Amino acid sequence: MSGSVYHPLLEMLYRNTNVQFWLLQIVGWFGLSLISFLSLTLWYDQQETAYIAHTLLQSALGVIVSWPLRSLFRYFWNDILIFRISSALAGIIGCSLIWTILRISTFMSMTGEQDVWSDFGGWLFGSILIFLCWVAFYHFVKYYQLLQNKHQALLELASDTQQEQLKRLQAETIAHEAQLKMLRYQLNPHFLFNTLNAISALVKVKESSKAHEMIVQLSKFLRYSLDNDPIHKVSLRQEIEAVTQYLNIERTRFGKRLRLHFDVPSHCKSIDVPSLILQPLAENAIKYGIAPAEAGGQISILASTEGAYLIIDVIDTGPGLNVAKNPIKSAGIGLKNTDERLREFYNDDYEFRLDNTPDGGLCARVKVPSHL
Amino acid sequence: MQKLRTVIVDDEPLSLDLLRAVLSEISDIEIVGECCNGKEAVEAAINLQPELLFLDIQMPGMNGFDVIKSLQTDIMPMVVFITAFDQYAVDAFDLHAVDYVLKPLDSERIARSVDRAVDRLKNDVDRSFKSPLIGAIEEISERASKEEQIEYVDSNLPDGMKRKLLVRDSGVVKVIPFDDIDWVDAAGDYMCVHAVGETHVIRSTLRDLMGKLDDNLFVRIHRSTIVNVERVVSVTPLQKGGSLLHLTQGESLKVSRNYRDSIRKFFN
Repeated sequence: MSGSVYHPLLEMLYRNTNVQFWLLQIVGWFGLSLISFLSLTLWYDQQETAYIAHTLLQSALGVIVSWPLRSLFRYFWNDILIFRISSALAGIIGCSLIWTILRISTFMSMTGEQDVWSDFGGWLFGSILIFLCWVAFYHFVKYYQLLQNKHQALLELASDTQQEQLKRLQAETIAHEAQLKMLRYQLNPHFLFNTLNAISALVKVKESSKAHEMIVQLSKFLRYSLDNDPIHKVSLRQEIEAVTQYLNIERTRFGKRLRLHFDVPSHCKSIDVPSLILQPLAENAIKYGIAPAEAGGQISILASTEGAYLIIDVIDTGPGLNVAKNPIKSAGIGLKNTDERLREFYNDDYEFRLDNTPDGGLCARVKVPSHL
Repeated sequence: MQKLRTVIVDDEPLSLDLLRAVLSEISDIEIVGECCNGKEAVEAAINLQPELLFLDIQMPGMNGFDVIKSLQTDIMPMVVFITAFDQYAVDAFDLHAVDYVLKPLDSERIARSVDRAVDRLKNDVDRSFKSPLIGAIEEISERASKEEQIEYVDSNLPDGMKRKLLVRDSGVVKVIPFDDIDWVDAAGDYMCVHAVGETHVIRSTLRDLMGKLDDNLFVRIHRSTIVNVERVVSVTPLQKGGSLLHLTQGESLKVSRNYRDSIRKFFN
């Protein structure tokens, strides 16, 4: 529809119903005066200026007299039918009377003809027919517009639905890619083989209960990674449990070199967060904060709320980062993935930042809305 | 036959336990030392003079490759690398016939490594163990950075540049004045130039470099080792006529009996 509208004036005519109304008023009424000139004026051979002028004047009067009808119909538009019909009839009769009186009195004074009032009935009959036509045409236009609008709305709805479907499909594709990436990330060959090596060591030195415990932890952690769709959210409690399993496995490997500290208040635990959002941060802390340090270090996971936001900090005691670089851009695939996933979930209503702590370590902070 | 004196190195305690347990079942092995980082491994190699080293690659501080680079060619034991996962590394080890085992450790695979070590010790009289190791390490770092080459300063360069070494290190060219060099050891086609605490691997021969260095400053102390005498802090005599030089950067170098006279000249 809007595709066929190419001129700004047409565009305005198409959109603005006031302009449409007044244009139809003028065309209609002066079209009527043309008909009246071609029939009555010529038929009765009244070609003096006064008669022609009166023809034009009565059209102008028609424009003015019919004007209030528009307000009348608008006022009763949503009322029950009986009110609308009776108001329309009253409007027609009232306007016809007024218009007829105005026409006759101006006709008499302009042409000097006498005793036109005796023909009042005939003049009124014509008036009523014209106003009936006016009202009919008004309603026709009005309902035509309504139909067009509905049609347009339906088309828009259909295209919206299509767009939405497309968007949803795209989002699903991204989510599935994220899941694949996440799996490949979690099944980090270093982590997996080193863990299997540690389990093998526990079996070899006959620490069977520790070996059992570690196998259970590894299984739970892998199951959590496999079961959880990354497009869904889980409670922070579940996330903390999964990351604890991961860190306990690492602690068995690193021994005394890895110290853990958790501070997650219970009111934070029921807040929902994207699943598998903490593990990459913990893995990053292990990789850069613990593994390269001969004396090892500590990983702290702290949660708190600030207004309508949940804040999770993953802090290590490693060497921190080079502030000259954009930390997230130059970070590994794990942290970039975290940033992408948070954007998918929260658009721009989140914060993900890496900062050096005063003690020289690194603090990875995730701040997300707590109510969603 | 005599047992192989072996040192095992891994930063993860459990991994070290497993290695010890597996090796203790092999009769050819005598474990003389256990280390949990690179620094300890270097010290153990100098002090314990093992014949075989099981060395984990991923370690904090000094990793397995750094340990190899900083060990003197003349005292280099046979090395079996241990790695969890690194496709490039495994390819490079194969290429240079360096032995390696993958985690989780497999008793049979380790037994095969030990057999191979026993064979090499019998047949390899010249003990050039460092050369293939450095070759493998260079292969891996070349794949990682794609650009690692060395250029000597040519004799037709301006005089000011003559007494300097250009080393291309992960895309950056470093200029090392000859006077900054602490010690150098040759490993086959490679040279390890140790300067100001860093080790630069270059492709060259000891003879070539010796021709350029100042005879009054650099002295040969072993078949494949030369040292900057100004860096020597103290000398410890060893049994059988050898001695140990301690350098300013904390390294220790072994002087062989055959070269003790060249050192004596400087310190008498």
